[in-house]
Amino acid sequence: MKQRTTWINLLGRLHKVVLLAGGTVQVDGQPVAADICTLAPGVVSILLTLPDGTTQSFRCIAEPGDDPAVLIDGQRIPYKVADPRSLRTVSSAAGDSGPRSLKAPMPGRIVRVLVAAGDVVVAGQGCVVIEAMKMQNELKATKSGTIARLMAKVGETVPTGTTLFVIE
Amino acid sequence: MPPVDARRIRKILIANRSEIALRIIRACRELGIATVAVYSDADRAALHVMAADEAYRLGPPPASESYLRGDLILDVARRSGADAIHPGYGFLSENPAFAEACEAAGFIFIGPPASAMRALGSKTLARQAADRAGMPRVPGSVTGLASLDEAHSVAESIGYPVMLKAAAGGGGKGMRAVFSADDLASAFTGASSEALNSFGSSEVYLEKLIQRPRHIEIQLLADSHGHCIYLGERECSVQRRHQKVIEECPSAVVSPALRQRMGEAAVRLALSAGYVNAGTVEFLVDGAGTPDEAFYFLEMNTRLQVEHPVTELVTGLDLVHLQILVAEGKHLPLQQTDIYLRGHAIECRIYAEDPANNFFPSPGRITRLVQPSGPGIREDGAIYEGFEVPLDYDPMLSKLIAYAPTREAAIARMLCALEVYVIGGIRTNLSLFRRILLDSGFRSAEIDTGYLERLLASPETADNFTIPPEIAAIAAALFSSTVVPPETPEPGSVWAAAARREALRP
Repeated sequence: MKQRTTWINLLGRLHKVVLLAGGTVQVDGQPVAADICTLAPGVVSILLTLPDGTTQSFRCIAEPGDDPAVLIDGQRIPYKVADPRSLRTVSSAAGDSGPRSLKAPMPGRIVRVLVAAGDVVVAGQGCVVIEAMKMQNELKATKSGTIARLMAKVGETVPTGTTLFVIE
Repeated sequence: MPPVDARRIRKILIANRSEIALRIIRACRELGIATVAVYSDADRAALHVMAADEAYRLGPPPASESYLRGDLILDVARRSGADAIHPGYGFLSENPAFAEACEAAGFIFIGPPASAMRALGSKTLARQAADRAGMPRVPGSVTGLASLDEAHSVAESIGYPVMLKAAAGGGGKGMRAVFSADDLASAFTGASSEALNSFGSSEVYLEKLIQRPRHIEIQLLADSHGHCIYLGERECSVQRRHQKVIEECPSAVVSPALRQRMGEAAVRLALSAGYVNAGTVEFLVDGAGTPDEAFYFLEMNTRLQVEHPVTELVTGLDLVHLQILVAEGKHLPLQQTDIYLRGHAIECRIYAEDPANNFFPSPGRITRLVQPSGPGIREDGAIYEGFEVPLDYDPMLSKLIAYAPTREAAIARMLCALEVYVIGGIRTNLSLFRRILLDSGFRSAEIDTGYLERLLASPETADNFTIPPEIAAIAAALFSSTVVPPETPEPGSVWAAAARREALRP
């Protein structure tokens, strides 16, 4: 029998969701009487039947991306897909040693570059200014060190996540 | 009395973009007036271009090379045979030189005369005009500060805390709150240089910092025959970084007597400066509803405001229609006694910015759009599924407005509309409104200009989430197993697809 198990980290709590063939669903080991109807890619209607036989209707919309969320009836709920069998968790983010890349937090245009490759910077020092929608944001060094590489160029338009400089 | 020639307007060039351009184009269509749109390269696929009868390219995306190029806009006006120019808000709307250039080139500028703009547009000159009109204003200087020494002496005389402000300012730029004399020097330098960078003038002045004031403004309408009326107030205290987020009409705390006092003061100021057309006088209100209730003149905005729809819904008037009528030199067909406020309207400004990530701007392609509708719901927007929100302009996407018989009912109506509203592909501040509208402080109208920053500083309580966690978990599991195909049509393909469908129709 085909089934699929997914671990979802929701508002800090881990939930085990088992989707069984035939449309049956279990959450955290408990069966959930949920009727699922896909309306469009990334849009599902869930009709939840409560113990008293009444139902509750939810319209769920996917917000994919690096920080995914579900949008249910106007409430935006961020989540993470977790894999408890693996030790590869979110907390394995870069430590304080080693090179640190600084990425564009938003799409925008680079308006100022305040450092040059080889410069020594201290944590908190402003390095690159990026502008979008009339708002300027100064990207600060997240650790002290040397600017090992500098990719940001004044006037250039960059998408979110573009590495602008690397501190070593 | 010498007759002011009534000039019939047949074609209007709208020197703006986005929702306000669309709003004005709609009003023109209703009046049988032809419309001319202008656009930058970033806006070729924008809705205002599609909605107008004619559209002309201005230049590259930066506003300084497109929407701020008055010379190019006047060229388009000549080429298209327009007889009037509506500047909307922002861009050239409060630029007296542009208003003069329009009139000199033989076009009607749909807004106040340049002289009134000059008298009221600079904050220091406006404070002098307020004194002449006998209007209460925030204590402080009425001329620019010549030096740091002068700043120190003015600050001492009015007492700390004080506020440094750019004379040419707006949108929170060039503003600094100063709590002691030690901080004045750095704030003075900071505010002056920010003012110079943002507005081309380093002139700053000082006024007393009113703690926890409400921001309440009066909508005015004046014709060219010296007749001016006020159309009630708007409560705009819900702000973040001096940018309005939610506006309402009427204010929950303004009594009919206070409304009349503020309205009459605003009318006096406008008439003293020879004001014509729509305008707004902004006030700080302190202690509303208490015996110490006081209002202070803040500034005058010599244009149509973003938040004008709430006034339209509650007064039953169309401000753009009336702007055009007044620009034609006609008499305003309304007396003060005709103005009656009925019901309550609330507007939410939907911005492309991410509340979960420091309110960073979030331009990009809109991949999903579900808009609410129903009784009492109005939306002034200019977005569509597939539209690429440019990074070159203001992040405002749309204004959602709810109108109902009472404030309570309007809040409920807005909450229902927000449940439906989906903008996918980019981040927006939609989730923020639910939080505000459910907050007890907002619901009891205990708001001031610092209200929203205080709310945002406190952690969001779980009470605001009513979705059972198992439902969210199921939805998340479903979406993470099926790879959602990216819905990224090529620019313009929505229209191309529509055109193909039309062509195939029997």
